[in-house]
Amino acid sequence: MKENLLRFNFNQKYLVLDTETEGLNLLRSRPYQIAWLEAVGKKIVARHERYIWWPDLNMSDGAAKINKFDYEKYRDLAKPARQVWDEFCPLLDNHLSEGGTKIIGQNFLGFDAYMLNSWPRALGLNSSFNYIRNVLDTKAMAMAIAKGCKTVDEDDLIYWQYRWLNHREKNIKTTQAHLLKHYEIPHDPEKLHDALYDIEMTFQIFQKQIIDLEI
Amino acid sequence: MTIPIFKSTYSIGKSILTMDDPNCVTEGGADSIIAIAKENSLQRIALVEDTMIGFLDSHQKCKTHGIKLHFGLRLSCCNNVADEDKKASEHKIVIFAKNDEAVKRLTRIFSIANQKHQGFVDNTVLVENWSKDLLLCIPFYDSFIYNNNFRGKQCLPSFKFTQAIYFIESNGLPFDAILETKVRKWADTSGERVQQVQSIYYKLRSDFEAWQTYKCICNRTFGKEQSLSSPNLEHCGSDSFCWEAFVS
Repeated sequence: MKENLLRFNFNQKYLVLDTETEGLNLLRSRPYQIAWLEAVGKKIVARHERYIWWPDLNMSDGAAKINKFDYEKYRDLAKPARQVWDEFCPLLDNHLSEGGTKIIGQNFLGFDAYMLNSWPRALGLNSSFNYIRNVLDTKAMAMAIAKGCKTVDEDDLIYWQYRWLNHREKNIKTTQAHLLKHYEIPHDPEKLHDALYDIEMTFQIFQKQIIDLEI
Repeated sequence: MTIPIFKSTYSIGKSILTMDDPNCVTEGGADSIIAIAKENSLQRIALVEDTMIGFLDSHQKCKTHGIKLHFGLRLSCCNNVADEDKKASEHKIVIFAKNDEAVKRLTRIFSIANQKHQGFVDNTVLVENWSKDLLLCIPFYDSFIYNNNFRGKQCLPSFKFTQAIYFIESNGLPFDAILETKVRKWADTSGERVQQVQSIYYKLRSDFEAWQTYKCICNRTFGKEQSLSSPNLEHCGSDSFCWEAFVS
């Protein structure tokens, strides 16, 4: 038995992230909501949710419908985009400088990573992907598990994830909703696509996945 | 030194830059590679196309304006052209012609690929038609290195018949740095050169929407409806594939 597996590492730090966005354009769409939770082992130690104010927010009809976007709630809760970035960015940096913190997200490599780029860009700031090797993408892991994979390529973990993320097969579903059903995780489908709810669900999915995978 | 690598509208769905004469460029219309070259006093340009169709026009335009043209053809390569599923090992290569004789050879390779092998070449086709007047380059994003590491393909090229040059790009995509690591490692191991390049498909960063719109229009795959807020173009998250990014 491998004792260094995540499932046995109760001191492992996690940062679970999700963004809700005005659209699905990987360069121009900006996040209007971000939620992150910090966890050690299985224990969640902090939850954060921020609405991000963009005066010229350009919600696409599709995004508004899927996310059940409520403009009045957004207007009341949102803080200036720069202010939220100045709060979030050092937190991300701190986790990276401490080393070892795993960044967890559903389709993080295929989407949220781009949103963490479009956000500072829209503010005229530089962005960086120096966290990319710390990412564990539950969508990529889900595809690997669905294909019967039991182990990961530890030395090339980021490439291993990209390979599974880019793998397409008609009959395999890897959406969050499907994974919640698959793992029989109690959830309210109506609440999905709210960043704070999604990260809680993602973390629960992740806990199941690290049992399925030797990671 | 970074080398700009242009692509024109002759490569359908890839670029919004034309090879038009600068006199034909109108305000609000398409930008021209020749016009960019003239504006910036470029004495030579590298042009990589997906077809030979525009070669003659490009050659003539460049000649008229005193620009030396380095023409490259981007081809699909697979493990074996006899394979039924060539796409399973598909990866791209770029072959530059160093002189007029090499252009004839390049045209021949292009014809063989399209007339005999559904647009593919393999190692055997390349070896049989190779000459020292051709230069093999491996593009950054859709090379065998990218496809093997990021798509799980099993591309098994063998470029022992020549010295290849491996392109590296930095366009601000999340995986640029980790792909570069793999490319450098491969080139080091095989004792081959890497070259920093910048692919150019549009003139200004602000032309990104126009380029993305064009890509959506040209996209022939069926599936979800495409729009600028949801273009469904994989990893299309950079506006650096332009002349402005190259000069900045």
